[in-house]
Order: sequence, then structure tokens, then C-alpha cells
Amino acid sequence: MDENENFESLRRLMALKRHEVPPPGYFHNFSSEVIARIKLGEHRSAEAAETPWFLRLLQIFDAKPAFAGVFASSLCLLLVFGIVNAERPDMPVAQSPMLIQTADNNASAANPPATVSQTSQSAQSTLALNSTNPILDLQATAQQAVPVNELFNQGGPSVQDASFTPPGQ
Amino acid sequence: MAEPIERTESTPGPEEETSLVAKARDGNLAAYDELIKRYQERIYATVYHMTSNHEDANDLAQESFIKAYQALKSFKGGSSFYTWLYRIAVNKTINFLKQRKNRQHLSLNDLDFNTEHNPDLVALISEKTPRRDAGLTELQQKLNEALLKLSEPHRLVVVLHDVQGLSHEEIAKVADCNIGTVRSRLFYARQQLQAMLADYLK
Repeated sequence: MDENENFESLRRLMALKRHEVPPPGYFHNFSSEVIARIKLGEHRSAEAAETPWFLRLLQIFDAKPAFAGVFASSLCLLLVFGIVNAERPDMPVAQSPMLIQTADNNASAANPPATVSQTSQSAQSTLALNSTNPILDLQATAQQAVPVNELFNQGGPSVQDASFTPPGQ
Repeated sequence: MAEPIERTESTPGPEEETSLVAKARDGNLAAYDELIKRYQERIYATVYHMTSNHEDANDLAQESFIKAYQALKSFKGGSSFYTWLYRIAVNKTINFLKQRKNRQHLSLNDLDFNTEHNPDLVALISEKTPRRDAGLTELQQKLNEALLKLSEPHRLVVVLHDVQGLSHEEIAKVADCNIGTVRSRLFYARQQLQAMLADYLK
């Protein structure tokens, strides 16, 4: 073949590579070394499967300290989030009249009554009307100033005076 | 646990190889030991000629056999075990060489006793080489340096064909390319080597 004829000298030179051999006895132990490494790998896999999860986690931390840092930071963040969340009420503030009332009362106690703003008063009256709190109801009633007589003369059953004469008079 | 297998002195055929592969796939390490013994020299030689470094060749050859054992379950038998094993070793070696690009440290094996009695080589050195003082060791060094200057695909083809003696078809299967590509790579690699080793080939 032409290509082989052209490169005949090179091919003979390349034949020198075939005479490069590893140290004597190298292949006697080669397969046993490979088998030993395979067994070692299988042993490690079996050990890893038997190790409890927390020990495996510790091993990962040992191997990768950065992972330990990330894990600790995540735990701290979770803790802070939990604390902040635990201090919050279950209901939103705007929908809780009791809390608003308490807060408002506190504000009134801190400031003289004369300095309480008109907005605060109107908000209080609005909330009071809608509230089921008996104290607030009374305040609301007082603010509406409905005469007491009107409460009893609203088309109720009419009362007639009775004349009673004891027998024998 | 490895089970003992019967050892035969004669060269086992493909049927026995299939049986060994099946046993090794079931975890029989004795069967796999037999397969290693059968191919260790060829796998080592291929890796060694690609790296020109004995220690690297030792590690890569061992790792290739370990990886092949771990991947045996994925071996469907579409190609021969030998070709499949070769492909694992070659891929592992090429990946290693890509990472090693900046470190070209030769750790060459010694030439065996027969080298000095090889008539072709003796003639090549004593008659055709202009530098007649060049010894075999120097020639070996130059040859390996020239091989390392080739790209990995070209080096692979010339090693498998001119050193290992594989056919174009076998190389095409190992290198996962067509025969035309193998031929063109071989031609180009030889041209390059011829230019680099011109002093020793005149």
C-alpha cells in the first residue's frame, strides 16, 4: 500500500515504542491492586449506607467547611424568622378593634385629652359603632344622645289607668 | 464475595469472554480479575503511549478497569468487551491529557532487552541516521516528545495503528468515528511525525 510505503521508515521507528516496557513484575500485581481498590470502594459504599444520617452530615461538614457555614447561617435565619413571626398577632392589626382601642387608650393616657386629634375621635366613634364591646357600645349610645322618653314611646303597647274600688266602699 | 472460577491455560474464546463478563456483572470479582489479566497489558500500553509517563499510565489504567467494573451493568454487549474497555480507557486518558496540558513531564519506561537485537532498529540507527552517535534512549526520548506534540485524536490513531497494531475498523470503533476519519488522521499524524523526526529518518 502506498501510504505504508511512504511511511515505512517512520513505521519502523515507531516500532521502537513497542519495546518500552514497565518495570519487571509490574503486571504480576496489577490485577490484584485493581481488585483491592474495587473492594475498598464497595466497602466504603456499604459503610456510607450503614452510617446514621447525622454522622454522614458531620462527615460532609468535615469535608466541606463552607457547607457547614451555609447550614449554620440557614439555621440562624430560620430561628430569627421564627422569633419575629411568633411575636406577631394571628389577625392583622387593622381588623382587630380591641387592639386598636387599647392602643388608642394608651395614646390618650400619654397625651392630654385636649391634644387628641379629631381624626382619632372620629375613628374611635366609627369603630365603636361597629364594635360588640359593651363599653364601646355605651360610649356610642351616649354620643348619639337619644332621649330616654323616646326609648319608651315608640309605638309599644298602650297602658290604660285602672280604677280599682275595693268591695264595700 | 468473589467466587473462584476455573482457570484455563489456553486463550479463551469470545464465548468464554461473554461468560466472564456476565459473571463479573453479577459481582464475581474472580471473573473480573481474569478479564483484567487478559487486557491489562494492552490497556496499559495504550495509555502509556498516549501519556509517555509510567505513573500516569498506571493510575489511568487502574482507574479505567475500576470504572469499567462499576459500569458493567450498562454494558449491553453491542460491541465487544475489549472495544468497550478500550473506549473507557481512551476517553479517560484524553480527559486527563486535556487537564494536564501545561505539564509535559516524561517518565519513560525502559527499553526491553530485545530492542538492541531488533534488526530494523539497529539498521535505522547505524546506517540511515545521520547522527550516528544517537543511542536508542535518545531516540526513544525524541520519539515520545514528537508524539506529545500531536493533538490527542491524531496521537491516538497513530498509537493504536502503528504501535498497537489495531485495524482501521477497530480504531474507528474505539475512537467513535468513521474509517475515513481514521485514515485521514493517520496520514496527517504520520506527516507531522515525519517532519519532526526528519533527522532520524533520512
